[in-house]
Amino acid sequence: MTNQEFGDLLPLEKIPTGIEGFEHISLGGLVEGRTTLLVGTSGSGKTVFTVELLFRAITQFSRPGVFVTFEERPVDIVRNVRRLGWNLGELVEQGKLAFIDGSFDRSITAETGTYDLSGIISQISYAVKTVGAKLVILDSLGALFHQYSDPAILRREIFRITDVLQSLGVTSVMTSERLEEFGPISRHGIEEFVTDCVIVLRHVLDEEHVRRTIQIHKMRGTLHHDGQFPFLIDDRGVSILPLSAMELKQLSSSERISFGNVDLDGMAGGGLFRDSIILVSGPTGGGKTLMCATFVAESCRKGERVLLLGYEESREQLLRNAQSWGVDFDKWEKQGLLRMVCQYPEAQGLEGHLLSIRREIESFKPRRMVMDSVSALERIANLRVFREFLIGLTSYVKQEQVCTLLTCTTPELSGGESITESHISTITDAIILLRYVMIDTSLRRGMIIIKMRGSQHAKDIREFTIDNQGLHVGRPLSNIHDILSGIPSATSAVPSS
Amino acid sequence: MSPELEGVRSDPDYRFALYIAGDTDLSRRAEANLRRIFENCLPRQYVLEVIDVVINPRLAMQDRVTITPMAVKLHPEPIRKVIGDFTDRCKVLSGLGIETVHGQDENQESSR
Repeated sequence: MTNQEFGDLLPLEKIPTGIEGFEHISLGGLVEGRTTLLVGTSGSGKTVFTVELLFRAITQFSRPGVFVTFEERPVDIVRNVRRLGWNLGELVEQGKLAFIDGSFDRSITAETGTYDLSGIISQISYAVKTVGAKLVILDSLGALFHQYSDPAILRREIFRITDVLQSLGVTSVMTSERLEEFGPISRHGIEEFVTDCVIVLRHVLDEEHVRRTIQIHKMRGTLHHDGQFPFLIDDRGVSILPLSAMELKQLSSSERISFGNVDLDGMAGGGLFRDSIILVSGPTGGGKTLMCATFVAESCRKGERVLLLGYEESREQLLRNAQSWGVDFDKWEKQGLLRMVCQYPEAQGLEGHLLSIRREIESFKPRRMVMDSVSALERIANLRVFREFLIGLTSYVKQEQVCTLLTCTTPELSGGESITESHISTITDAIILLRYVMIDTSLRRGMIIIKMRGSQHAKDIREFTIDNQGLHVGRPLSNIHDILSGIPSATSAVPSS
Repeated sequence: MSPELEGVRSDPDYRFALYIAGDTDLSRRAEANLRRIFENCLPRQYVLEVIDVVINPRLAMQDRVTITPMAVKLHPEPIRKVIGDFTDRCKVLSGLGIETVHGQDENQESSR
């Protein structure tokens, strides 16, 4: 343990926390040997966050820790995190963790004159030396202000605690309350003393889902990502979704794989790239689900695992649809090549969906994935959140090299641009539009590839048909206008509107 | 720390502990003020054990000492605690739950 004195000019180092996504947004973790202030309103997840920091420090990085609690009693903390599978009691028995109980002591009946926090400071120094602690948590400072009446003493003493922690050479995290999500940093002006690093946790209601975010407000002397990143607390603890901080990698694979349809492969200049993201947009009944089935079938025939995420139809409907084109999903699922997950969009918030998808990919390890449809998820969040979700999703599947087919249902039967399309077009590698086309008095089907990154592709509009054998691409349709935005029609026909 | 017996009684009516942190002005003042109050109100009826948390942090942990100075009435129950340097005699006595027949007024304890 080194004493970081004034003349010690080593740059600040960061230590990893093991919390999913935190290293990414903080560019490495907590600043070593310094105090980080973690602020948030009541219920924003401060305690869980700090307990997880400590638990992972001890179990993943062999860094013993001390938890100083001013709010909940140690037994309550230990009991509360048992559901996450974290056995803190065991760590205490093994001498890797020490609790210091500074929670409300109802036998203290009066204050008279001046006092200080030497009691807790002595305990901290003793506990740090006893367990060889590298990380100290103090949760929460606000509770001290409720227990003791002299804020001037408390502020001075908190400052003294940060000094002591620094001289002990430990990394520390203090938590403090906020009254409002976007008001002053913390309630008692503590941030004026703990000035190195400030992290803000927020939770706000968005479209009837609680949306939690984490923001690194300040990390002195080091770089970090700005902005608020969504996070979730589930049965594995805290997961931060680094969304826009993710790097959007360019295509790196030149390996082509098949759509499952020779004609489509031909239109796309020889198939799809292995790590590409393909958007198929079209109206209801326009052939999207068939394209999905074709894509799934191809994957299974090649013996590659494929994950099918359904947000519009139930499992039974998906099975039945596929059956009608002679595709047996059931068989492949039994063989372990296909995994179908159907969920109502409203079942959880978008961060929840994203995390579920990531977990599915982690455990099933598919080579291909289908989401039918991604536009069904539009309605459960505001646009900004939806866009973040798409970026998070697409960058994750790219990173994992999962060839992904996304479908998007256009709002009108004839086509037109949807929200999904306009938000996703820049991050997809290929876009295929399926449209109804009015020719003379009959409604025909047309498709066009409007984008195929890194490859030549057919530029004309092709007619296609669907029968019980699947999808068949036919001749180019000529003289069609407005396939991208308006109502496609042929010039030879009487305009339909 | 060994208990410092005040007077000769082997089973005192009151047992107190005083937690201080190091040999500081604050510690000395707190102990002097507290002793003066007890001497005045509970002569020969009490024992006071002084515990320095800097020397004995394990006890500070065991007895959950966040704040110093802190006076604790250990006996008779219930346990009561008062923090500060005990400048207000009435607060100290009522805080520790001591009803005294020697309730005569005295000057405030010295605060410096």
